[in-house]
Amino acid sequence: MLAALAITTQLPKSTSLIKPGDLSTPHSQILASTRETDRCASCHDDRLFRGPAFLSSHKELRTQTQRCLDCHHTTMPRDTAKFAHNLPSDLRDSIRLASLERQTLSRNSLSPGSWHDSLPQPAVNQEDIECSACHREHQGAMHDLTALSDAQCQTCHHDRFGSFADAHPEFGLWPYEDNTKSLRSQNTARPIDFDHRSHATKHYPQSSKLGSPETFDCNSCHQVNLLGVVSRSVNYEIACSRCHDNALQTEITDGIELASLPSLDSSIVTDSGTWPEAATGFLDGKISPFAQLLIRESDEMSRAIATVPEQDFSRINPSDAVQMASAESIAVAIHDLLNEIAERGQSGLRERLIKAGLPTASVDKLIRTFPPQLVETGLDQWFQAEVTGRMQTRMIPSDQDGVRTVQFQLPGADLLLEEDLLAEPSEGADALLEGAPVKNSLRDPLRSDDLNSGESSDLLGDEGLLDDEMLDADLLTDRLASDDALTDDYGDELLSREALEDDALDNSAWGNDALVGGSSDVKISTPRKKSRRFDAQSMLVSGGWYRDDLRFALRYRAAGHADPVLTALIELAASLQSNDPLANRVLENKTVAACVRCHPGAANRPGNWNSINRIGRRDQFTKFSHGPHLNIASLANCTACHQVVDSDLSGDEKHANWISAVTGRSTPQAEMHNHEFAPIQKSDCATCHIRNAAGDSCVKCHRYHIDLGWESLQ
Amino acid sequence: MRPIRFSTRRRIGASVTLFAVALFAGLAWLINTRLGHASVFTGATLLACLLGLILLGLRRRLPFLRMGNVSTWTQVHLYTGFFTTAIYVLHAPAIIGDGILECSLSIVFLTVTVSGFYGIYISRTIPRRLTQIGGQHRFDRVQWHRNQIAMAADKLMSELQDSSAIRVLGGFSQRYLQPFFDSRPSLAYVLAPNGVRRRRLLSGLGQLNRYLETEGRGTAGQLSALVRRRDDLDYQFALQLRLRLWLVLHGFLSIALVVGGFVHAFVAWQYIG
Repeated sequence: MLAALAITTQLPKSTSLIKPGDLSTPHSQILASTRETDRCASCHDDRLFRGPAFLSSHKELRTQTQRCLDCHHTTMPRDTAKFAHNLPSDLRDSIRLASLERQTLSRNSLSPGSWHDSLPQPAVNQEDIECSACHREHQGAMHDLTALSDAQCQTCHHDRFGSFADAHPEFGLWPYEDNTKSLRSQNTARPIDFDHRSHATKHYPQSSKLGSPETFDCNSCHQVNLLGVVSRSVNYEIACSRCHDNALQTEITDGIELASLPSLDSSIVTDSGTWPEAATGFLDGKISPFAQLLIRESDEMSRAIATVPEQDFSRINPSDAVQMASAESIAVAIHDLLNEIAERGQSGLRERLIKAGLPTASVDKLIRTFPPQLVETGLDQWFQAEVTGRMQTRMIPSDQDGVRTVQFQLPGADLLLEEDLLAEPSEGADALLEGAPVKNSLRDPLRSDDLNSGESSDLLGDEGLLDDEMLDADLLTDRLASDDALTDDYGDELLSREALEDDALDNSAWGNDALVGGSSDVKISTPRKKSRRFDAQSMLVSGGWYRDDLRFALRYRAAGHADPVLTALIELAASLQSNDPLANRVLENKTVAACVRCHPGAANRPGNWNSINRIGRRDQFTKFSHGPHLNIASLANCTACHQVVDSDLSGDEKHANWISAVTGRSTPQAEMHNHEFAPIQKSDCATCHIRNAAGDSCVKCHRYHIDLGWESLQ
Repeated sequence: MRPIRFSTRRRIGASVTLFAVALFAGLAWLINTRLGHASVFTGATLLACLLGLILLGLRRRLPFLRMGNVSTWTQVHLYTGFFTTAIYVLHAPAIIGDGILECSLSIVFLTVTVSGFYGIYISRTIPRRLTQIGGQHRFDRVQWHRNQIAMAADKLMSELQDSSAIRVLGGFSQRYLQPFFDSRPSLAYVLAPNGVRRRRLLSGLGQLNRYLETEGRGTAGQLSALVRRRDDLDYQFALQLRLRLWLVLHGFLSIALVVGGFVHAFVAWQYIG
């Protein structure tokens, strides 16, 4: 034995004390620069040869799988690395149940079993599979760590097969059936719902008859790059716009509505000054989905909205006190919303949407182009009684005494056209200016405080400010604007004439101001005739936000395909809970529906606008690459495998029967959608994929390590 | 019990061994297919077989134990050896391991295996060769018999009366016969016993006959007989020594193999991951 040891130490092959075999080339290359003593420790716990340390608790040992994941953590997440297929048990069970269901529905007999079936199930814990179960090192430099035999693959499976050509199940409707269905979401909506059949058999031939040179060519949209990867979709501008752009522009003309003031019943609005007069009289208007999303912060508001039938104020029963109360609270909420936007700008919108649980990125994309000033001017326009903070001023000519006077203009009033506001207030003037009581229950949130007693003519109520001497003054009669103001009854020296004589505003430069001037006449240009309603179609040809004063609404007109606001809105709708009726309301909008009609996947999963290339996709069990196949002359044409269904088939039932006849499987009508391609037959692949040719092992076309997180990274 | 024929026994043994090898190979394949560690299975089988193989030596040293006859044990030992060799190939397809420990263990195993096969060969050939020679000489008394032969040769020479015979045979004896009778056989002869020196001596004695008278010829004839006896003795000594040395080597390496096997099993279990 000693002699043998002595001999072996001299052999160039043996440089390690313990070495069951050569490492595979990838690992040996990585560890080539590692010290001899550390090379084993890269993958094994070397505590065995560290003396007393060996006696320490084995609980501290890191498993070999953990060491594998130190380098291979990008291939699979650590928390699911030891699960079979890196999938949690509930997902595996659902896949298994689906498989059983397919077998039950299949007309053909079950696939021929394997000799494995006669043996007991292997003792493999599907929740705790070590890496070394399949990947064995020290088999030599040329050993392929990823190579597994079919029998090894099928060890854990309940359904086992022999050779690919003889025993593998038919493909069914693959790859079309599971086009975008992910293992996690089981979402069957396609990102782009393009009907190949109708385009190939109907639209393109018709356009050809009309003289269009276009023919239905697969390569027009599915282009092959240098690596042999076939793109699944192409730009809208290249493929679709020529035929679909006009129709799309028509469909999105209406746009979407941010919010609108409903028309309220007179009983609700007891004082028309607090609500636009044009929106007072009878209940009308709808709660737009966007507005609903913004105001349903509380359960109370959600209940109120739910009380309104179909979110349509016109359907409210005026004798129903609950509905009426809900209408009032919703109107107040909308008003509050607009006020908040006017005061806080996009922040107000942003906070509400994020608070509703919507993703920040989509929220920002949605509100990025929104101008808060639109709301501010809208409120000014609509709520002419609103005084605080929304005054316009102009300088009127100075009198002979050189006293500048300032005139306050009410919102909506035209200084040049209205009568002199310094006169006695006319009937219907702003009640605030007169200090009239506010008796209606539709309270202005700005006024809904203790200051408003509702009885006293003094708006300030019992506040300490009641002692303010200004309260009794007629605010219309601006003391500063009249000569009498100079005789300050209150002894205010600031109002003394002498002080104003030195007024800094008394600037000769003001003489150049057309509104001020040095003369007593105010020269202004002829005002632009303001149309009653904004024509968005002609004024916003490139899309944008606008205000509909006729309907007291804030709306958005889309620009066209891939409009950023519409896409953001659809992504927000897709982010909502699947059972949230608001999502459907958003998607039912005509403009939104025009987008979702071609991009149904986006309505189910945010950002699912384009078809993701299947190549390199690690969340599917099946892998396929066009590259090697396109090198074969007989397969270079797409139609060699992908054959559009003949259009003679009419009706889903007939097509369903045909599908069943081809696949040998009875497909429930409810589950089947109109497949446009003929299923790919297994026999077509088995022509080349035999053992001695292209290969027919399981790992040739199937993947073991499934990365559920791959989808979220795209 | 009626003894079975040798050929029958061999057929039975070979069949059982082949069946066992096939069975274990299938089990190893099955374990590997079902994601198990076939090397653990084959390694454990190897270790068990080695332990079983060395039990033969135990049986030989404990004849008082009623555990069957040595012949049966020997047959079991032989076929278990064949089986072990096949399992080793399943366990280590590369035959020679890479690491120092594994390589040493591989060499020892191969040495034991080869010696085992050699043991089968010499156990079949040497006894027949020994039987052909005739006479039964205990190994530990070979030297005594050598001394007896040398003394007999000296006596014959001392009893010669004829002067010419004394002169002729004396010179030949002094030059060739006494070194032959007095010394031990050479290492080369022990390793590869042959009849070269025997034939040379006998040929020489035969050529002296023309120089000898009747007495001298008679003495030469007796000396030739002693030469034959001595050569046969040396031949037996060589063959017996070979057998004994083989046994020591095979047994000792087997013990070392078992010890090394346990060490390897322990290390492999720690590193299996």
